[in-house]
Amino acid sequence: MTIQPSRPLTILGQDPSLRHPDGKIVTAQILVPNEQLSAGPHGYRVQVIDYDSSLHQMYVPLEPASMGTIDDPVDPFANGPSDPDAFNARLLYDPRFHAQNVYAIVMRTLAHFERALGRRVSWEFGGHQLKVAPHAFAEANAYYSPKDEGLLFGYFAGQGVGKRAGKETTVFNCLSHDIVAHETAHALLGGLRPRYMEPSTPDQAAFHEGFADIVALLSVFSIPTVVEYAVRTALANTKAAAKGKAGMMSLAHLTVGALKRGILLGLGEQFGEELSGIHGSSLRRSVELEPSPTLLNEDEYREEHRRGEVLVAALLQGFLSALTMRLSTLGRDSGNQLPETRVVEEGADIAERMLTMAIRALDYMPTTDIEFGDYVCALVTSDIEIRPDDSRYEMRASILAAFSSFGIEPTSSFKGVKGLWKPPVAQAPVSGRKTKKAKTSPPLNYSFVHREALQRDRDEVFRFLWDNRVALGLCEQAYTEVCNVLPCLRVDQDGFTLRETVADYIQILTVRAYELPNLEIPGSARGITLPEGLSSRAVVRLLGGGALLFDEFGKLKYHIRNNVLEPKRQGRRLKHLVESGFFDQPRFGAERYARLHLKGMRPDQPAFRKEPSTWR
Amino acid sequence: MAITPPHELTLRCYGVGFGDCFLLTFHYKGTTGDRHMLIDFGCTQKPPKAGTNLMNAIAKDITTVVGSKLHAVVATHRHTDHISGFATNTKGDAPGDVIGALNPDLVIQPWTEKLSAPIDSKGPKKGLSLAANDALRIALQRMQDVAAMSLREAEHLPKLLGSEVKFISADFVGEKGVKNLSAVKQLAKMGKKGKAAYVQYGSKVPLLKTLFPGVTFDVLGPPTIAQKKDVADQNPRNADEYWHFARFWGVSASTARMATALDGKLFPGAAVYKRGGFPVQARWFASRLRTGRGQHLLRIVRAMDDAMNNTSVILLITAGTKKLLFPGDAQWENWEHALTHNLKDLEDVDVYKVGHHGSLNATPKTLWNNFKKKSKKKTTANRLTTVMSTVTDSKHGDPEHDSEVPREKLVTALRSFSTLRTTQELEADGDLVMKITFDLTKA
Repeated sequence: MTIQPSRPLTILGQDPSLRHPDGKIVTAQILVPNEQLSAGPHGYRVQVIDYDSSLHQMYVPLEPASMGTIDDPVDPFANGPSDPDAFNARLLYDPRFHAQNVYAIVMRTLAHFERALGRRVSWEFGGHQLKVAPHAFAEANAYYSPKDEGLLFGYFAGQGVGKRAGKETTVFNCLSHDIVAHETAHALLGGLRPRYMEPSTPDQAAFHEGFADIVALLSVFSIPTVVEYAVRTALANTKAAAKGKAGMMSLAHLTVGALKRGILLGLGEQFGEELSGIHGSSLRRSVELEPSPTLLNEDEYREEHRRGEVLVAALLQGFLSALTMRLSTLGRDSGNQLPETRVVEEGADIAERMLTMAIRALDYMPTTDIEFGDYVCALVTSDIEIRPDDSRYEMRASILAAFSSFGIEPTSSFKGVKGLWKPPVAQAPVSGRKTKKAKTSPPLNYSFVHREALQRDRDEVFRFLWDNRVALGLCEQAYTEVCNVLPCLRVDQDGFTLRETVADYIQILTVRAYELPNLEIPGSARGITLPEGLSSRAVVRLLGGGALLFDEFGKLKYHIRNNVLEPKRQGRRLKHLVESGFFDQPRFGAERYARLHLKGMRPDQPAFRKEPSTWR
Repeated sequence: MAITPPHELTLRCYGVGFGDCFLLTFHYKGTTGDRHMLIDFGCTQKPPKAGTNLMNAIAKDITTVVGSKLHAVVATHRHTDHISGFATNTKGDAPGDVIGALNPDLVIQPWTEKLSAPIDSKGPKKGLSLAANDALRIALQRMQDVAAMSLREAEHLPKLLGSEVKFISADFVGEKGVKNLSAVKQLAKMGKKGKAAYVQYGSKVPLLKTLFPGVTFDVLGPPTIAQKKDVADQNPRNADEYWHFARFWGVSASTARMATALDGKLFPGAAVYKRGGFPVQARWFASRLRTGRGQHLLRIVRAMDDAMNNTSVILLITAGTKKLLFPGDAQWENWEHALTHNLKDLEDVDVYKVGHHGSLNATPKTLWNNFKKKSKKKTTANRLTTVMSTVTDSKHGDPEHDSEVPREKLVTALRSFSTLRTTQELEADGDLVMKITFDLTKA
């Protein structure tokens, strides 16, 4: 008996609009962690329940036997009829394939997160199994619902694309690879950083969407058949293709601009073309966005969806730069051409690496009130830790340059390395009341904690935090809680391993607005400015917190945090919350994901402004 | 010989329940006689003791009052609770047939009802423009399909949710989901026979001067979207947002029609579990989805409700020494324009027909605060009169979520500061109509 570590499952490469020249939908067979599946599929992390709340119907799933055993896993949809129409019909009109598609993509995304982070990743809601409804309702929407512990995908009437334009068809969100990966990313990010949905900075509001789009895009691009399709489309559109050798690509077509136009935009047209105005157009807008350092200051980009597009655009730019740099180092023929297959391989590989980087960076982010510059530092620092030598792919250089071109500079630099978080002993200020000058922090005290317990125990980590509260700049008066302590074994694609322990904590300080200016803040001569428009009696909740990264010996390598009493940052946050009307309305909760995913489409008639006075 | 203005007005508030039906009779001396205007005629929830032929009884009473001639009909907006009474039948004895036989000379409706107006569906232009008007018009048309789908889905939602979704959806499409077609057609027919006026903020309808000499009718709503651009603090993204609004309803309407056509067979041939026979491990999630769907549909239909309410014609009628305000179910998005430009004109309103059957959103605080004739003293001369057409224990909203209609907070304010007359007074004895008379000559 040989238990297979993974099982192959067929999914759609991108969505039903991506077709081969013969008309067959582009599919891919991916590997997901193996397990003995029950009907659903129903596994140890994902449970597909195909209930349609619009029709009040539940579809019977495939029998488990059709999926084989752990010794001999079977892909029930591996081979289809040779006739393209029959091939496509089997995928489009069998709900059991839709169930397999979502199961596989969710599991693949989860596996990627766990590989990148080097540990198990829990869902936000505390349970072990994420429920997925592939045909949840008749509506052009898809979202993650923490209170329902699941992902919900709708279906709607589309107008057809390409050769099928104008012909009304049923569009299934569950068949869009990028949408499924996107929603899964929300569920995972919600578990890793639950405070990122708190009302905070414009960047934080945008981060969830931007990050989920990044995961979606890179997840799609990491599939060789999709990259192959995109490269062939790009080739077919170039004049030189007619002159060049078959199966070869000229280096001239492999510049950042050319790749963007040919590959990304080509795929971008497919990205939710049916959903344009819902989901796809934001991806296309990210691809088309031209770098500009002042973009984020424009009014249009203060809105969270548009702001998230800038984050995606920056990372995409970094991806393309890294790809072109990599391709330029490869051996070429006398005509300065590369084999197409090599371009596809490198493209998928770099997408996979960049996705790993993007995910791993989450452990190196503050736990609250983030800004895009924090993410740049997290990308750079987490990558340096596991892959000190960047000369082969130059991914960090590409990322820094790309983000800078969009006006996103890293929050920190250390010893000349741009984007590197500072080690804890070099952090500011801890002593003095209302003084402007920072004093050096005392060394960290490990005397009362045990190394082994620091790798697993919340109370032990809290002891360490409390013993070093002055050195680490914590606010004693704030409520402080260690949320997670997670040992990790990270393994780079090239085999390098890194053992670390990641712990995260939050601090909450609740005050009346009139108390803000008089708060005693170490290292600062003043308190927090009371923003205009905020009632002095308003209850204000200040958040802070951080990530603690311990090395394998239990020594603190990084303390990546936002101080609950940092006056400038808190002042900016409160000003933004007042301007966005946060203090005037009840907080939105679980519905927020559903609202986000209408993505600019709205059921409410726009109100020009609010009534100045209201009934109380 | 010059016609003297009317000296008296009789306002008849019919007990339609949750709905509006007001007959205004302007009394003229001499040969002019009485002139009659009917503002709305619809119902979605009858009063408790109403018989099955309530609407017919009302139509008959209207005929008794007006004789053979109704001079004008105003259908403030297309909701069932304002127009269902205009529906006809093949026998020709439905309430709408009765009203039609009175041959109104003029039928007034909001500009959004003019279906023959050109529609530009090519996408947003820079800044606010006529295209945004079309976006709203398109969106409103598309809501009918969504309402029909919501009505169907409401059948298998949890009871309370389903009941409210049904109630609000029925406001669009009637209980049988047929889009109030008959009523809409009858209004169009009456308008064609006489004259149809599709009004917006500031519209002048010359025929009103002829029909009701000495009475001024100011149309204070609804504004077109292009008209709104002169409101201060305008959000420059509003033009795009109207297209996002239209696009949402476009996709939703197509999907609703698709769902109807599918008739439950999204995947013909696919095996489904029997209802009530879902696997145990799936029931919790299915139940959550069902509730979630209900909550979501409720939000959608409420958004539709608001959008349609905001197409209401707002009429300010000045007759002699009295001013009467009939705003249909207008809410802030509609009111804002008038309250920016006509606040002074609204100060001295004598009679205010309470918006949307007593919901809070339809009586903006700005409007209420501006009424100068409010008074805590019941004996104050010329104290503000407020008139509310509603029903006790309506199915609209619920007290637990502070969304009940009529809203207690508003009713308290109306009772405290005005002489409130509500059709709920008719419920105890099952009376059909409440009459209020106003002397138009006394200051």
